[in-house]
Amino acid sequence: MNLTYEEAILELEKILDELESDDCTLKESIEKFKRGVILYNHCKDLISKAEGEIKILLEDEENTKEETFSMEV
Amino acid sequence: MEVIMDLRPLKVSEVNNYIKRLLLSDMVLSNISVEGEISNFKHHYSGHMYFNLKDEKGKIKAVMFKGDNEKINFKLDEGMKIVATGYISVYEREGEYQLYVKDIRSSGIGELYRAFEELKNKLEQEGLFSQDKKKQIPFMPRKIGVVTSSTGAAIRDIITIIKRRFPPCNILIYPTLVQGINAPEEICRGLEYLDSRDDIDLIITGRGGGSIEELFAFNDEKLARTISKLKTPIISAVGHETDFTIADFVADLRAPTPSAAAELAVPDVMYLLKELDNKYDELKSIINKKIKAYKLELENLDTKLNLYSPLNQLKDKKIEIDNFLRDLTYVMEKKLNEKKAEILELKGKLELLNPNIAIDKGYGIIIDNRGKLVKSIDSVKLGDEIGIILRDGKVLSRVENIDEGEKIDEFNL
Repeated sequence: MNLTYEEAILELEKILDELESDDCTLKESIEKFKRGVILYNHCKDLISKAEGEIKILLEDEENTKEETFSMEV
Repeated sequence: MEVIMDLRPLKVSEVNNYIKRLLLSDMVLSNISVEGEISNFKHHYSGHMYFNLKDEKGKIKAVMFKGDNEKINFKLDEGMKIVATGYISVYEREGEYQLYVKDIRSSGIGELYRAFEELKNKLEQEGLFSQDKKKQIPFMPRKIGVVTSSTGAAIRDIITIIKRRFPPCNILIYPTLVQGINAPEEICRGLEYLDSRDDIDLIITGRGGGSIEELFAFNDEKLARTISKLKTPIISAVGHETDFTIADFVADLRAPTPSAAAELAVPDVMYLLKELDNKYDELKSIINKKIKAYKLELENLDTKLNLYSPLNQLKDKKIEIDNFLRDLTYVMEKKLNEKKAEILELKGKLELLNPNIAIDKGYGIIIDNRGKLVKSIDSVKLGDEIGIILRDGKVLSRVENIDEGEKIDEFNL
């Protein structure tokens, strides 16, 4: 899934509204529910990803390289 | 030809007073900052200060009263370059105009301040601070580029808070000077470099608190223009809450401090998780409620269906048939029993008529010589041989006498 977190949340909210509105058939409701669970998992994945990297750019003779930045230094 | 107006001559004090009122009503003179060097400085025992402000071409008398000069937090001295703010009025007794000083700043700072104001006005007029130029700060940046000193408190605060709020976020630091004459140039290079990369979603630039001079790198015109040209959204975070720099005005978002910039840059993952789980619970509860409602409806329909089902009607018919069958059986059995009883009765009657029974009791049956029953005297003649059948055999006899006598109607056994 390529949706951003905001897009996914927005769609999830839309689904909740639609489900709540009672206008859909059982089949549609189940489809929407399934989609909602997918969106939920996607969002959860996005915010539970592995810890990000902290890097610092170092320049030497016109070359820039990235090195892990340590707060201890 | 010259016309001389014949006016009443004014007294000296009236003139002075008139001039004083003129000066005080002047927009510029009534609220003015004057830059100059202090000379002839006197701190009178009364607490008031008297001095001249001068530059290469002139001088002006100045006075600063006790109530005002107590507020300055540095010592005034001969030859010091200052910016004095106040108003110009007339000391009527001497007929001298002078600067009544309400506040004094050291001139170095004064210049910085003026430069700041000038640049700010200029850029504002050019539309660099325009709200519609501001780019949206991404809700959840994957990688944040930070242009600041790698050794200051600012970068530590930023990293600590981003990591706490949103651990998956990547951070790329472009280390630069953040004060001094070379700082703006370096910061510009950092911003342009990060902006040229396509993996940076958001830039933060700034530094921790410091004096006005120390923060002045962020009031640089080139830096302001560089910031305004960035394609990547940028948050500025310079100094403390009360410090405003040109960079703050040009940036898409101003954070009061570097820590605040980090707070503004990423969402709080704990909050997001809670919000997300709430939505999930809501989703489940809605669908469960729905399914329950459908189930109930189904059950209702099932009940109705059963009510109208042909099966049900069949059941009724079956009961009806069973009842019929039972009635039928009952009637049949009753009839049968009646017939049985009738038969038994007949059998009894029949048994009464059985000749063997009579023979057993000692009666005899008379047959003629052809074996036919002799029931009447008319069937025999005198001399005929007749047989008498008894219980245990047959007696052969001869008719010797026929007597027409008493008639027996019925042979009652």
